[in-house]
Amino acid sequence: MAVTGAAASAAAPTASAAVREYWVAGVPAPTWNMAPNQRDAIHGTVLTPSQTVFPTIVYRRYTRRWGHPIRNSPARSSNQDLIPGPLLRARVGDRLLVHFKNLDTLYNRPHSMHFHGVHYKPSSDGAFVPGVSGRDGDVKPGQTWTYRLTAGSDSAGVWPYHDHSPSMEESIAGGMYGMLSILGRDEPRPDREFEVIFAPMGDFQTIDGRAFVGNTPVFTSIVGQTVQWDVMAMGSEHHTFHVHGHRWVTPDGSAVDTKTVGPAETFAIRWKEEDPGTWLYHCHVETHMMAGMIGTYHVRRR
Amino acid sequence: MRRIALALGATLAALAAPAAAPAMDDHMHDPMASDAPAAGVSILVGSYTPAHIDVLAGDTVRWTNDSVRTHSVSADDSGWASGRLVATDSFSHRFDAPASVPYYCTLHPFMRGEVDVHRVLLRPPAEPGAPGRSYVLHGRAALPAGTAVSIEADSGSGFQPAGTTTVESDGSFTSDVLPSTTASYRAVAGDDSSPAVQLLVLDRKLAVTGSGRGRAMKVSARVAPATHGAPVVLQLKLPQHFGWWPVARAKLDHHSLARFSLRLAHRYPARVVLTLRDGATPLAVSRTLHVGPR
Repeated sequence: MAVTGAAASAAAPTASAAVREYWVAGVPAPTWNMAPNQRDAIHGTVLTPSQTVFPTIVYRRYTRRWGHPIRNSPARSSNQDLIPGPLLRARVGDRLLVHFKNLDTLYNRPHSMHFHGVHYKPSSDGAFVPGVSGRDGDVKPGQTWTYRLTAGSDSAGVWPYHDHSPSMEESIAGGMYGMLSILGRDEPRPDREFEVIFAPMGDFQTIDGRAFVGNTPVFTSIVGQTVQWDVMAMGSEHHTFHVHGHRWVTPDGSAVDTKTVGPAETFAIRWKEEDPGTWLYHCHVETHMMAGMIGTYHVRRR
Repeated sequence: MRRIALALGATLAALAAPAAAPAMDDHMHDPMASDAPAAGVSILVGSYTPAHIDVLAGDTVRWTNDSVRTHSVSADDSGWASGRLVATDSFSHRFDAPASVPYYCTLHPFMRGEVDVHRVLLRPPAEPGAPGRSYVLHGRAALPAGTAVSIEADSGSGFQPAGTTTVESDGSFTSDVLPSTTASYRAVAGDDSSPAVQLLVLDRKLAVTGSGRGRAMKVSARVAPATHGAPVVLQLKLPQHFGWWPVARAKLDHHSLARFSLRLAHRYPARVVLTLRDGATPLAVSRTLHVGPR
């Protein structure tokens, strides 16, 4: 398999800096199901809804000016929705305006968005500090806040965002997190972009809020396509991202097929797909894999 | 691996605990967590509503005067009293030991109420179950973690064993029961027994029809007896999802009918499932259709 590092991509026409606006709401997901097929198919274990369904609040993307809700995941990149939150794409030099509305009618808790990797003033930090922070870190139910961010020259890559309000502990445990994906000025967009967020949920270890094969995102690509994996962890544990049948090259030039990611750390890897078949991807911490942190990746022939 | 079959942990319990919910509506409330009211009683012009409540030892009850009259809340045995409560005033009292505690209004002595304090409580089931289909009962206990709890059912011939479970570290417990008919259930731990709650069991049938040409398909589902507003899920059996996978959701309309439209590139087995409000626990399952282009 031919592999390329995330930064080792061919030159493309330079895009001019843009202002990118996103509308994101915190909305109830009253019956989020970590395992809709109600199975750990590999081990043949039946999972009951009382084990896998719980009420939570999630980030949900809307069309311009809160027109109507739309899918969080980029087209053809995942069968998943709602967890993680919208993939916020930009390019180095861009400004981002992220309009956040708190529609938490389930718990009536405050929420916020706190972004890693980008430049902003304190009023767009989105973190609650008593007596110090403003409304950005404590967006009350029914209220809206606009976060003003800039993708600097050091912002290329993928980065986390998450709730950092007074209710961040419950929110993160319930899936209020997502990713920024920022391309370099001349970096081409991949054909497929897959988001893999490792996080614990209750007694399970989840990828994008789902546990066990078939429930976790089913990623697909076609031989010849450039695929990018955006990998991140939330919670208090480290994870080791592994894809079967594939390798990629690290900045020091060595090939690897497993990489560690800790809480709020991220990395993006790319390769040009050459290997058709159905492959597993998973966290290689064995107890995590056995508790649900595993999924499938399907590569079709051209 | 099998240990994941245990109930969800305290993290999700915290997620699911809305503030100041009535005691038995909030199955994941931690009885030891705080003195936040676990149950509320409204004081009206001439009555307490509800006049009788069941709470767990350690629960705090809050009375709120929702009338224009001045009232009070005073224990019959004079163990505690609110004093005068004018409109919108409230009074809270924590009940630490199992007992039946009658109380009254000193200003209007005909107004009476009672708090029954237990060591074990079962939450009244919010939705009907189905015969032969698993139903989860939720409860709380003011007993140490690991205490064994027996679930008993009475469908007319006295209480019989229906399940066993243990108390979690947050005081909650759950038990899967397999009802065959409407019955009363109670939870028993040693010498302590909860008040009985009733689980209504309905045998509902789900009929489906499919139609369409090419990739555009329509699936209609009807539930009898009529169940307006209940959730139904269209599932396809998809290899990449290792089983039945929800692809569309709807609520039954006033005719107990739901219609789904979908576009499919391939042909798949399909079925419709009537579920509890969690959108996942099955109450009735349709026959299997095959939908999509041949």
